Amino acid sequence: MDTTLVGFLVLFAICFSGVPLGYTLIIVGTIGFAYVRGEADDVGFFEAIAEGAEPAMTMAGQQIIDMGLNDGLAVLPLFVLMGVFIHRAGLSDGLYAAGNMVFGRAPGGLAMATVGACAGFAAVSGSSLATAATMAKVAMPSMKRYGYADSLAAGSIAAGGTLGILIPPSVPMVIYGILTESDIGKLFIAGVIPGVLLTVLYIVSIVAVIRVKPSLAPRSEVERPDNVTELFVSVGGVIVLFAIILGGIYLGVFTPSEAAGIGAAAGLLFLLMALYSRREFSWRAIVEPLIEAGITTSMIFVVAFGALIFANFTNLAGMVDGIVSAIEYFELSPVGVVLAMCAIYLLLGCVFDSLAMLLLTIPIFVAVIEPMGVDLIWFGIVAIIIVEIGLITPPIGMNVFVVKTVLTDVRIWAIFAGVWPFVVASLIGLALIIAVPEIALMLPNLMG
Amino acid sequence: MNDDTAPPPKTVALPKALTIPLLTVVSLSVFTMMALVFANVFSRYLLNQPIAGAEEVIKFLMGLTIFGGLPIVTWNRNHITVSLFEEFFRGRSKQIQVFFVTLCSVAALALICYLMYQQGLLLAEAKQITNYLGWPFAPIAYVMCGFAAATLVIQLLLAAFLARGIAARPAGVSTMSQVD
Repeated sequence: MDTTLVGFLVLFAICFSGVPLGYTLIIVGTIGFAYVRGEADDVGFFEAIAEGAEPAMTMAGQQIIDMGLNDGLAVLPLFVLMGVFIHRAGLSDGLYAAGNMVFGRAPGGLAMATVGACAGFAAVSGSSLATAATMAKVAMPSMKRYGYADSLAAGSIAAGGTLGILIPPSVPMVIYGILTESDIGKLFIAGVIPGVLLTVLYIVSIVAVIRVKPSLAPRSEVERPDNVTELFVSVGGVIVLFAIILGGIYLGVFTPSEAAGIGAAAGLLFLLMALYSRREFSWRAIVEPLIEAGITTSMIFVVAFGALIFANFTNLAGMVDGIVSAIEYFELSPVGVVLAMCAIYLLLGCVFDSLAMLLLTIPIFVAVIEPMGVDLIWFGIVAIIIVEIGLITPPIGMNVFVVKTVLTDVRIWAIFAGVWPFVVASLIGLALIIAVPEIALMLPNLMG
Repeated sequence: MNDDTAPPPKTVALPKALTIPLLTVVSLSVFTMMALVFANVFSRYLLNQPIAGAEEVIKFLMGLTIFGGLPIVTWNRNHITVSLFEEFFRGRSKQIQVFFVTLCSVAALALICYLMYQQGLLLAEAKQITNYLGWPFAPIAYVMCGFAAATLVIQLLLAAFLARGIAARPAGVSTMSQVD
């Protein structure tokens, strides 16, 4: 346990200095593994590392080869590709127009329309940042026009964007599934009801905020869409694509990898249609999303390799046994352990961004909770919601920074002030899902 | 001082001789993966016969995508890092930080390079091949080793440019994270 603690301290020290997280995990994990293997012979630090170097190298190399040449993991680049295609196809305008038609008359209706459009965009995109960036461009102008407060307008975009990773398909869910060897299809299905729940809670929080301070959102009017065809294509396309992907997985027609392939191909079709209608067709417009998806894949996998190598080190060093002993000593229930993990996530979220946090902790946390009988699908949803909260809370709050990048005239603290009602809504949603796991598990349990 | 009057910072791009092959490998691998998975579904349902060996090709494409993209990720500085404390480093401490980051990155890349070479030797020795197509695994491990070596060189180049106050101009596309 002491070795693991030192390992973590070294890991934090190195990655806080700005060394890429993946590289840090690979170095510390391999050296740590070598040390623990060599330590058994009761020799000095360097002798121990030299002694254990060979098995450590074999373990690390094997992890990289096994993961890097795994066809089942093609689900990740393909869902990323689908998201990039959809992002560039500009489906968001139509979704926002549809949201406006539904909520436009209500007080705060444009903020509600933003959250609704974010949920719709999330149903075909696996990224919170892409959802927030897209919606910032689309939703902010009309909210500005009607005199909405910056805090409510930008806050609803940043918070609505987080739905991108909860409503399936979701790239972090794919990563969680890969790391825990959970059924990615079940994870996606499990995200549906919590996704709808959080969307509703976000809309309720807008209503509550406006009840308290009506000046935040002067009454707006329903804006007639400029292009009705675009609206139908966007909304219809999103519904059809979501139904094919989720329906296919739910009914067992496709594996998640196949659904990702079909989703990516459909995304390409949407992009081609958008390029044709905008008369902007070029090969560059087609190739760039492929490059973007490839680069993103490479970026994720370096950290994933490191996370697995580091988890091998911590497991060998007996960290999991140590944690289990501590749990037994304090007589913590499985829910107590999950709550403790939630607290750790909220602390780590102050330093690490969402993906880094997931990759770093999931292999270790799951090794602890799996033997306790905690449902890994349910825990996946809990972890994703906590990650969502981390995306909109300071100091990291990536969604807030993305919205700030797009909306340069809005102050960063105005956005942080605007997201607090949504953070409260997320915490209520999280508490409900922890208290009633069926919210997440009802649909996947029906899959059989 | 007015920023408008300041001279623009010097930038340097990765030579096209490097970027074009790398971006071609990455984009073609991703596209082929998508096309194969898509075609495989239709072949399985419509022709009642999956495309033989498709999964084995995808294995290799995954390796090419991940490792082919690594030099670009490094040049574009797209790696996932904890940037919260970046602003604390200024002047001399910034130089030390850059040196330390480069040192650790080079060490990690040298390690990855060696690990892939070692795996290549092991796979060659065991004569590991794919089940259907009979493709040997060792060459792809050596290719992955080669990409890691190229990344190492790029990491050193990046540090050399940075030391002279020259920034790297991103290659390919500006990446919006599709992850978080």
